[in-house]
Amino acid sequence: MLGSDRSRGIVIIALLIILLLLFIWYGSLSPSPEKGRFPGNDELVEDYERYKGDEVEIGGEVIETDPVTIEIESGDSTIELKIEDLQEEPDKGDRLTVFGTAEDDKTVRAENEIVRPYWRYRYMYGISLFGAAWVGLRLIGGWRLDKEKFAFEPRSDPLTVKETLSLLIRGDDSG
Amino acid sequence: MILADLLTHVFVGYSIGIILSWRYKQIKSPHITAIMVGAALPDLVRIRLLLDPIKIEQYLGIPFSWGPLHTVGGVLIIMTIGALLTIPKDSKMIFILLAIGAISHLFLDSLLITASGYSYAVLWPFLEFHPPTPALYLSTDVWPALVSGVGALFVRTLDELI
Repeated sequence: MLGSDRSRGIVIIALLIILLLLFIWYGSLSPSPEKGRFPGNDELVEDYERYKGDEVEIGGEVIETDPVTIEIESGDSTIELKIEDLQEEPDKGDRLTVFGTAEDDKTVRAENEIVRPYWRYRYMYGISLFGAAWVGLRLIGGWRLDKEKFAFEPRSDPLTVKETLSLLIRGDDSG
Repeated sequence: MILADLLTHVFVGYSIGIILSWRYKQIKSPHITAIMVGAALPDLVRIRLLLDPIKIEQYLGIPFSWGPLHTVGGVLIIMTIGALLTIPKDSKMIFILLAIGAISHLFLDSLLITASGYSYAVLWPFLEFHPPTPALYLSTDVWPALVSGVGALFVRTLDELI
C-alpha cells in the first residue's frame, strides 16, 4: 500500500486539502451555547449588541480596576468591557477570563471568572518552548532522513542530546 | 485558551513511552520520541499566535480557524501525514505511537479549568459538543509541569534500574 512515492505524495496533498477544508468549516461554526460553545472575543468585538442578553465567555487584559474593565481583542480590533459581580479583585495588567451575561452599556455580569497574573503566561510560554526544544533535539538525534526514499527512519544508534547539539553546530549529517 | 503547557504534555508522553518500552521491546528511544511528538502535536494550534485567523479571514474573505488542529479530526490528519513521511515498514507503528501521545494530550486538556465549565470540542468533527470539564488545573499553573517532571524522572530512574 502506498508503496510508490508518487501515490504517497498524492495522498499527503489530499490530506492537506482536507485539513484546509476543516479550517474553513471550523471557522464558519457559530456559537451554540447548548453545545458548550459560547460567544467569545471574536463575536463580541465584531458586534456586541447582537449578543446582548446572551451568556458569553471572554478574556483579556485588565486595564482598569474601578470599575474592572478589560480590553478584548480580535485581529487588530479591540473593545473595552466593564465587568461586574466579580468574586476576586484583579490588578491592572492581570489577564481575566469571564463567563457571564452580556448586558447594556458594554458591561458583562460575571458568573465565573479566572484571574491570572501576566507572568504566568510568560512562564507557560517559556517552559513550552523548553518542551518543544527537547522534542526537537530528540527528533534530530533519534531519526534520520533517507534522502532517496524521502522518508524518515529511526537511527539504529540514536544520538545523545550532546551529540545532537554538536551535529547541529557542525551542520553535516553522516549518520 | 484551553491548552496545558507543552512541557507537561511532553513529560507525560516521555513517561508513557518508557513504560510501554518495558512491555514492548520494539519501542526504543526514537519511538519514545514519536510518542512525545504525538503529545506535542495538538499544540500546533498555537500557530494562531503567529498567523492570526481573523486576519486570514479578512485577507481571504472566507471563514478560517486553526481550531481543528486541537481536535481529533485535525490530529488524525496530521498523524497520518507524519506516518506517511516515515519509511513504509514503520508507518503503522509510528501512527500508533503518535496516536498514543496525541490522545494523552487531548485527554489532559479536556480536564482544564475554563470559565464556562465546558471544555473544547475535542471530538470534532465527529461531535460538536464541548464536554463539561472536571476543572482540575490551569494551563498557567506551575504544578502540572513539576508533578509530571518528577513523574518522568521517577520513570526514567526505574528504567535505568531494570
